[in-house]
Amino acid sequence: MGLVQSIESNMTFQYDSDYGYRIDMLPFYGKMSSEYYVKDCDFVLLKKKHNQLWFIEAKSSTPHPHTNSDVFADFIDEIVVKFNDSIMLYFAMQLNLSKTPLSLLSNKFQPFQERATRLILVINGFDAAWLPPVQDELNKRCKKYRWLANVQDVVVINDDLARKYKLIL
Amino acid sequence: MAIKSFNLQNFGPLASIQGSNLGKINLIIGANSTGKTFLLKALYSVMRSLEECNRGDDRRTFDEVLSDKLYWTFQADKLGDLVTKGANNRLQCQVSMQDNTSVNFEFGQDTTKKIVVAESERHYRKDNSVFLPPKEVLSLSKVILKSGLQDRVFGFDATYVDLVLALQSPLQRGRNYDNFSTSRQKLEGMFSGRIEFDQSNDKWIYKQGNSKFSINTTAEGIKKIGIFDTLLGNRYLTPESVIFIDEPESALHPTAISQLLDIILALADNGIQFFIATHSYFVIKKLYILARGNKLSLPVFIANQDNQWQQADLFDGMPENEIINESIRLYEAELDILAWD
Repeated sequence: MGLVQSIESNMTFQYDSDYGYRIDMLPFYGKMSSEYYVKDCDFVLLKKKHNQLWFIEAKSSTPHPHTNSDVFADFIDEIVVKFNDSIMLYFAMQLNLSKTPLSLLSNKFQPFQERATRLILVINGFDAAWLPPVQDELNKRCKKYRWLANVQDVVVINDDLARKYKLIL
Repeated sequence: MAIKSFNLQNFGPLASIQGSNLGKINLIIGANSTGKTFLLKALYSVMRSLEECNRGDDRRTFDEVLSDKLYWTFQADKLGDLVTKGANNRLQCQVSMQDNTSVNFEFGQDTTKKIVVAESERHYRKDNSVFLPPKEVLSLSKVILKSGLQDRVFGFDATYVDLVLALQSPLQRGRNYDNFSTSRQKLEGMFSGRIEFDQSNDKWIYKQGNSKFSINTTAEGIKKIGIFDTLLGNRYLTPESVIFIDEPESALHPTAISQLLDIILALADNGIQFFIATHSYFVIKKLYILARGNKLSLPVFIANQDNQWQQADLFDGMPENEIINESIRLYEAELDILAWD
């Protein structure tokens, strides 16, 4: 195992395959998605140093938060559902409740030790001036996961910042 | 007869600023001491002089009215002190109206109290312009009038004195302009009450239903909105008025700022022209949304760090500016405190 590169929304994400996975690469993904309408975010990364689990969704664009408010609300709804289903799937796997067994993941994901969760939305090419209000809105909508899954941070960044924080190449 | 363009040179901190194709609402942003308030006051002085000259029995010439207005608005010992420091600098000011009339004047650093306005076609105005400063004036109205009219001393400049006098016009009964009535209802709805002048006690009060409250214990934001409401109710303002607002955000909650700007847009649609100077993220964001959402040209004047001014239009997009930049810096600082390794 080692570093893998994975392109999503025209951005090249890089992570250690022992410490990350793509949900859409899991077996049964097609069935889970098409028959059970499970929505998934793009990546789940384990950050052992800080005992954190990161759920990452990548987007190539987003509707404008104020000039296209209805479409923007739908967009945020979609992101929240993706994070929700991905969190549920992960914890169901940990509890051996899911039809997707935990053994499909690297053994670094076992035993269950994560103490905090971060939700990250990366929007390619998005104007930095509009990131704060999108982050504020997503934060508000994801508040219940602070309680349910110890989500400590909800972060919305663009490709420049994702590169700065070494999420993408 | 709204303002169409202006060109100011060596006007205090404003070394050079030009504005053209002005809109119904015009925004001015820049760091402290870049000259935002100076610009508002310069334009106000010209407009108010066009309104005071030839009114009633006032026999002063336009030159005299404008000289007085500049002197009492900027309160410099001599008018020459308004000229930007520098050898041989001369202050130049040109303000053009939509009807193609204009006011042009210039003077040097030696000018004391009297300026000479260049000959040009001018239309004296029957309407009233008003300058709304960051602080409310109701609780200090008597002090302002005593200082400005009775004692004739510097302290409260002419914008304050003019505003207090404007507020003293009695409320008019009868049908108001439709948009003014609607706007007044919205303004009064913001704080569930209104400001009224209590003739019997010769003082301003805040009235909520049948309850009356002293103006001194009334929240600053309520007084600020009340001033606007009163000027619409006593018909001091008309659809031809020009309103200059310095820091509309002061003393107002962000939600109230947003509501106020919606009302300002409705009044602008009715004809009133606005010039707004701000430091507020919420004001610039809200105006950007109004410009985009209503397909409205909304000129914005931005001072850079070297105090050079440029004109942009919020309808074309959010221009580079330090208010938005600071919000991004704060957001990035928030990200930087997270662990990313």
